[in-house]
Amino acid sequence: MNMHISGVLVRAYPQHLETVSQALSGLQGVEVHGANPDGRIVVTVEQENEGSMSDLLVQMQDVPGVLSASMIYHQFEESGQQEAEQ
Amino acid sequence: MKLTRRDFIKSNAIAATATAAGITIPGVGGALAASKDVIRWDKAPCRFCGTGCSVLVGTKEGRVVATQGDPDAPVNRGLNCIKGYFLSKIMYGKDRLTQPLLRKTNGKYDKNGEFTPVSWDEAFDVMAEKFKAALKNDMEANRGKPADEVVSTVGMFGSGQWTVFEGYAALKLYKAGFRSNHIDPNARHCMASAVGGFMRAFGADEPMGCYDDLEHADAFVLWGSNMSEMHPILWSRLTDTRLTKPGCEVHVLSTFEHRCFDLGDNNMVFVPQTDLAILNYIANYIIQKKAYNQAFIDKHVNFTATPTDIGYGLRPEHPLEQKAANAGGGKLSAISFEEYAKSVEPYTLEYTSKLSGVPEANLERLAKLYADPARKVTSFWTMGFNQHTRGVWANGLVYNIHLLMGKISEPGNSPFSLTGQPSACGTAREVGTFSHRLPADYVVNKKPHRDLAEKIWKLPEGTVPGKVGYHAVLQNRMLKDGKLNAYWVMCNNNMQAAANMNEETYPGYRNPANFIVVSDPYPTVTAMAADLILPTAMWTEKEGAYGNAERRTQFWRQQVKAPGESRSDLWQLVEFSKRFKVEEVWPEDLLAKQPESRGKTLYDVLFANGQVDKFKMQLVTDDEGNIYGNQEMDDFGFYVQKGLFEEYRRFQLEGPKVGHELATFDTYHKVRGLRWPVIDGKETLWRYREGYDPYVKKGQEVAFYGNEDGRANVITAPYEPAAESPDEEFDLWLSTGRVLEHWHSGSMTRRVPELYRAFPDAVIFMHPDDAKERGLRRGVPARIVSRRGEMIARVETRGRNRPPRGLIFVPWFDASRLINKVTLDATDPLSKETDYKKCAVKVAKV
Repeated sequence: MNMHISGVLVRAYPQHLETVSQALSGLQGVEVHGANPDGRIVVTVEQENEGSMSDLLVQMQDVPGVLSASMIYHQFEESGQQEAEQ
Repeated sequence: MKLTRRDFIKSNAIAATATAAGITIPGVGGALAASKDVIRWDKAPCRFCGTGCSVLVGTKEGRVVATQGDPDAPVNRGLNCIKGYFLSKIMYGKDRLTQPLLRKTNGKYDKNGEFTPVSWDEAFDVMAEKFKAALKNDMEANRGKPADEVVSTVGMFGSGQWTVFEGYAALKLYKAGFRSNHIDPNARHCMASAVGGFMRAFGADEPMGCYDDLEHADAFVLWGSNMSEMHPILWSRLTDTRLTKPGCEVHVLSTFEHRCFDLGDNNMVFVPQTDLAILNYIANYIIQKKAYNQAFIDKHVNFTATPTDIGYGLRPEHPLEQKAANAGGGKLSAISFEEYAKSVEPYTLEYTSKLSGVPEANLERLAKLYADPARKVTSFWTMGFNQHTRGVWANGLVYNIHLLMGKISEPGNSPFSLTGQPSACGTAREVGTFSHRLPADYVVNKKPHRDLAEKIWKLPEGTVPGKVGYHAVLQNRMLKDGKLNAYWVMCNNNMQAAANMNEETYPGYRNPANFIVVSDPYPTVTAMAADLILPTAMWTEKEGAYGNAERRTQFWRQQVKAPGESRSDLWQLVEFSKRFKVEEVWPEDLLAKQPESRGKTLYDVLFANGQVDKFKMQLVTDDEGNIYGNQEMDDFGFYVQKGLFEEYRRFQLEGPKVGHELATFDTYHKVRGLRWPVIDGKETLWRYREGYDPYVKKGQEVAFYGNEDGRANVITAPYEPAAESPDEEFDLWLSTGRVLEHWHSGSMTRRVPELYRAFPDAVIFMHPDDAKERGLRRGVPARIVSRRGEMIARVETRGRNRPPRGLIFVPWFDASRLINKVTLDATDPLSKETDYKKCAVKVAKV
């Protein structure tokens, strides 16, 4: 099992912050961690296999009220590595 | 607290994203710093578009495992778009080529044989034999001819994705080594009209402004640019400004609705080709309202006219060329302001609205914006202007508007041509890998320019041929006609990218008279049509340098080793040069001028020339003492990249043209890029403006010093129809283009499973009523047929691209559905760039 984790910055009109955050949280593997009142939302996306990641990214861009979604961070780990402790 | 690996990575992701969002999230700070002992991070510009975002590349155990937007990068400020996100995977596609492949039958080269793995030695032996046969014919044909009559049957199709070093090595090997100007980059397909526009108006290539205009402008106008999908990071900066600056407006013009329309305040869908009329209408409005900046015009502008009815760059026997009064004409003639005013007078609001299909109110709002001296306007354009049979005109017409108003070369007032490839500017344009160019805006058909090149290169006078070579589209025609016989394609996918593949490209590659070499990391459509495939190192598998659309030059170090036997384009070019003796390419009279070169190889005279090989082997390190590889240095025994770059810089320092100066090689490994001209270590943000550009003297205010008189040219040009328009039988416009997830022909992005899934197959975007009328609906396959070919794809009536009635849009990334079997190879007669945006097709049930 592989692990793909990315951090995504989503931008929405400030007045849509709440509805957009809610819609994003409803997507499988997507978590909203906070938002700047100016409309910038901090999101992580987690997937176990490669396939669903891009579907999700496109879905995020197509959420009503989303003006843009930018990748900030991405890392993937192959099977067996994720148990290691920091 | 115990963190699992998953928590740890996740907190890195959150911390980096929170920083970009300008907030702090409790409990996740500092994780990134701690990760440094596992992953080595180093900067590199993104491999994809011309924006030039900087990416931090995370390497672990010799493999790239992570990427993040570079928070220290002025271009992207920690952000990346979806394509940048996939950078870590493009190098690890399952079908990566790792050995040279030669077509063989019974152990021998055979044009109709099967691809068979061979050694580099065997690959270069066969390749050199074919090149030498062609060069021998050339030597015969050129006997006794002066430099400006020299012809050639060897050629190369290169790239705006080449590193600066690679482009320079290729240019030198071809123009000075093989004495052939038949070298052209794929940037011809995307940037040539922009270059033509710059040279005609300003006498110097590339934008005067920079990305800082994105924050300084009060309004933005998008002319044929879907920035939201093609330049998402610039789009996010533009979005920021639109949302935070009171009164900021976005005007969007396109032949179909796309994602930028979501943010647009004034959205306009126009009939293809009528952008020419709209541009002239705005100029007419400015003149009628006397809104123009008289003082600026008096001091800084010339008025000129360009020949009209210039044809469509098709084969000369084509009826459209026969009909054209001034086919290919481009010589400017001086006119008065009054004559200029008269030339745009026919473009009234009523006429333009009727022709373009854009409502009068929208057009007037756009014209008012440009005509308001108090509002700073930045205009952006990409392929909508450039891939246009009147592309050079269109570029000029937008400069006309900015020049009339004096809205140019200052923060926020900026006509801005965006680029599609990461080094279309840095390599193709600045190094000059075009069939007519030399480095730093010099050209082959001017003797003093060739003299300069020969002096810097320490080569005898008359080495560089003076006749302009075959441009991209002409190369395919000449391959088909058997006039170009030894041909090397590097760092592009032109079988898929070039228009009219059925009638020109494919027959050219498979012509038995020709030997076709393709260097690529992957088995692209182009590679599969070749006779020899060379496996190629990509992106951070080599040390490199790119130049982006705002004149920013950026370097990177080699992060990982290329797989198998693959080698960089640079290695291939330099290594191949060892196979040629000077006597095999130079006639006796050249040898007589430089007898010490007798018996030497092209490698000796071009690369081991005492200049390029001046910098000895050294350790490549970063500030933290990490050590990086350099395959070329290991193999050739000197710092190849540094030697090439420092020799290249001399073109900017020793010729009569100023304003192209770059900093030293070592500087770029330390900084996040610098915008040229770099004078005394300082970059230039706005060219031609006093206070910003050191070449503008005190009191001059503005100086367009690319032109001798320091003035820019307003160039009048009318609306002329497209090469092919819909008629009764072929009743729809076809426009082609890209989508967010795939980049250009998809040879890299389609290797990445996620990207492939997001947009698995090209579709036909069409209006639901057009679909219904043809008995089609969403999701069903349909045939697109033109006079040249056909293809099948599924109908899409929803989604992000929404064409008006009468037009369909088809993305061109899909190698299994090649839209260029359908398109027409009509070009701008001035720039030779293909118009991929307009031809006539019909769509029917399968």
